[in-house]
Amino acid sequence: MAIKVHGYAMSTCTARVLLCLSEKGLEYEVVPVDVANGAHKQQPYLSLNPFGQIPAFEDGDVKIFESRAISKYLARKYKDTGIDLLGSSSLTVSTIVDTWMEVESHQFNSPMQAIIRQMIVNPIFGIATDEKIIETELEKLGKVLDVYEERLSKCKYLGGDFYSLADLHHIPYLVYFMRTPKSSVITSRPHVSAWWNDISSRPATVKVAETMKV
Amino acid sequence: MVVKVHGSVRAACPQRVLACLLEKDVEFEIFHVDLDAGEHKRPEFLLRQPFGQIPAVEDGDLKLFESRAIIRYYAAKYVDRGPNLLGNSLEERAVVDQWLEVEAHNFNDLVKTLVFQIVILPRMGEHGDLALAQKCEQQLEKVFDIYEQHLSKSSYLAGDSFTLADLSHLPAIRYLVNDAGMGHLVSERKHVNAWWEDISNRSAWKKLMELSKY
Repeated sequence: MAIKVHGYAMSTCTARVLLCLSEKGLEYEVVPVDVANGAHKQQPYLSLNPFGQIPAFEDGDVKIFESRAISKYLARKYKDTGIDLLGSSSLTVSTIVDTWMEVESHQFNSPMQAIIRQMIVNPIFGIATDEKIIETELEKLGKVLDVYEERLSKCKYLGGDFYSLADLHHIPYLVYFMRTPKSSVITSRPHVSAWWNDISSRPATVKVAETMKV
Repeated sequence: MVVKVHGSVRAACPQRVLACLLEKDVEFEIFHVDLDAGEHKRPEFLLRQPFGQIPAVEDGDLKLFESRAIIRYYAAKYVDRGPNLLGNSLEERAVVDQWLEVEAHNFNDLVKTLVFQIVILPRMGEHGDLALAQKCEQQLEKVFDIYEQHLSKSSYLAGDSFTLADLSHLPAIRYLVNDAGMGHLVSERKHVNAWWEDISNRSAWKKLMELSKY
């Protein structure tokens, strides 16, 4: 198969790419990476991603890493397949989408990653959960979500009135977060909650979320 | 129409935008934001940038924030003017995006933390966490090793020409080399050093250094 994603479904960054592929209705193969035995830190994996992180991606001869770059590549190459996930109708529109992709990357990702590590990842490895970190990071996340609440009171999706990668990039961490006792952080904000209900019920989201089992 | 850039000319993220505007010969005016006085957290500024960070850009009616989205906007808007900062094909564009993500997720946070501990906090009359700074330095050594290997095969990060991927690194490396006493991270690596000498001697960057009056 031409499209290969090296990674595994449980990984949020792998899921980010799989969500994009599913939205586009593209066929792909997930090539498992034996992270438990450190395969991602050795050759041959390092020649696909020299930083030893997953996922890595192949589309024929094209090899890319970094999930947010991969999703953008797919959204661009397959612009006319399925929905336009980049807002390509104009540069201004696509730049607003790009802006909120950056917001996910720089405002949302960091506190969310820390919370999921404490609440979901650490227990798997028998590492103690640090409640102080959860408290601190939830406070940061709350402030970010206040901005989202304001934004989503003005438009249906983060990039405007259409679903785009700006929304999609948030899904992997939210799938896990909404399974934790802290999900009220989302449900207590009416517009954020409505937005999550919408994007989480998309068929592509449901399909990928089902494979995200801890 | 003169582009209005709200921010400090010596701060990393505004510099990322200014470097791009200079490369593309786009006229701009800097509106200084007094970070020490907390201007960026005041209601008037939050209307421009809801997360209270710099830069914020005004271009006619268009209001933008997030420096990496802003540079992609201007690189696309003025694709036919000055150097092509985005690559010549879909695949090349994907590699530019890939290295922009590397800069954002594997590089930037390490530099930011290190600079905060050993440059910013002391400037504010406080003690930085030297152990934390050392940890960042060690991690940066590993990141720069990967860059060294990559740049031994490629003149610039995304291929044979200077692109946004290289430009995005300029402000942080300047901090490392000039302010943080971490020049060895660059100078000890033959290809990283040659790359840094090249990109930091571009006339656009030199013009920005003059504007910044260090």
